[in-house]
Amino acid sequence: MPRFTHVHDLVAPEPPDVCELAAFPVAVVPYALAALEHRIPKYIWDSASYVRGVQLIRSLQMAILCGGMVDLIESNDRIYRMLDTALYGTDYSVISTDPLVVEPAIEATHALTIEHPDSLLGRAEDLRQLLQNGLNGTATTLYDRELGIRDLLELIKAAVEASDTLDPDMLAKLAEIALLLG
Amino acid sequence: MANSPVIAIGLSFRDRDGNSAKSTIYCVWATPIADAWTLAFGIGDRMLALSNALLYQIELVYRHTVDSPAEPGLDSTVERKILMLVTNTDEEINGMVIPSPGDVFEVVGSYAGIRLDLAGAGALGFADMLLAVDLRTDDNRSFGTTLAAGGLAL
Repeated sequence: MPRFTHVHDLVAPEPPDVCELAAFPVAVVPYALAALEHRIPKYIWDSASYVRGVQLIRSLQMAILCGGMVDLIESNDRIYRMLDTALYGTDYSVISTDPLVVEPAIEATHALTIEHPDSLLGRAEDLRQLLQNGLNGTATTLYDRELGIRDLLELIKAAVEASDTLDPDMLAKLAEIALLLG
Repeated sequence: MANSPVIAIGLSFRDRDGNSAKSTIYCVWATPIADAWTLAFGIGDRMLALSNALLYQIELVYRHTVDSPAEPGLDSTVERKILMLVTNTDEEINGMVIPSPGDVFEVVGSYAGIRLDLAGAGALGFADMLLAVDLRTDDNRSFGTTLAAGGLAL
């Protein structure tokens, strides 16, 4: 195998520096740090490039030591779980902190299933059923009043029409309310 | 062997082919630095009178050897190193290598055993030292006062 020979009189590229995000196995960090250290000595750089060239090398050493991808991915997962809990009511539990294990695991897709009535979708469903039952008297899972507001208004209107004390204004208003309710 | 601190005076010469050679002599430890430089330049002049090479670098090294040192730790290995990364106020990153790191790395997380535990006593002491002294790079820039990271280098 040919021996790798470092280039001398290196000229550092001019700014701007384009940056990329990379995932890497942390186990390789010690080897990468040491390998990059071979590019630090002054004599391998063109004298005008020395400071900038070394800063480029140091910035990469710093980047692989500071990492951040795990934090970034975990922050994405945290946002997903927050939305999942808020929207669907999914209840997550931290099983361990090192490494962080949270259950249930995040799946590739999410079924349209309300997991808790206090979630946003759960409350929206509650409102939908309340309106259906309240307005029309439709029996739902949560509400089962026999008569809805429309039915009650019709009964009131009929009762008023049947009475001796007919009030045209009151009848007109009841008819108007019934019309507004659809 | 008794400790014999000295100042080493290194004088580097270069020939027509770009080859270098260093001549090293010593003077007593207590010599004031200004006097040591005067001595070094004087010796350089005398050597140049005997040589047709180019004297291009003079360096003074204050050398102190620990007297009767203890035995190194059983798990010490100087091939293993820790790279300390320090930032200065110009947002430059500078590095310092310390051989044979002890139990100074993080013990949990994905960087366990690799990344310096910045909350550890050794790291905190190092960080305090950076604030207290004006370390320089080899081209006389500020080395830095903030210990930003450290990691095992193999």
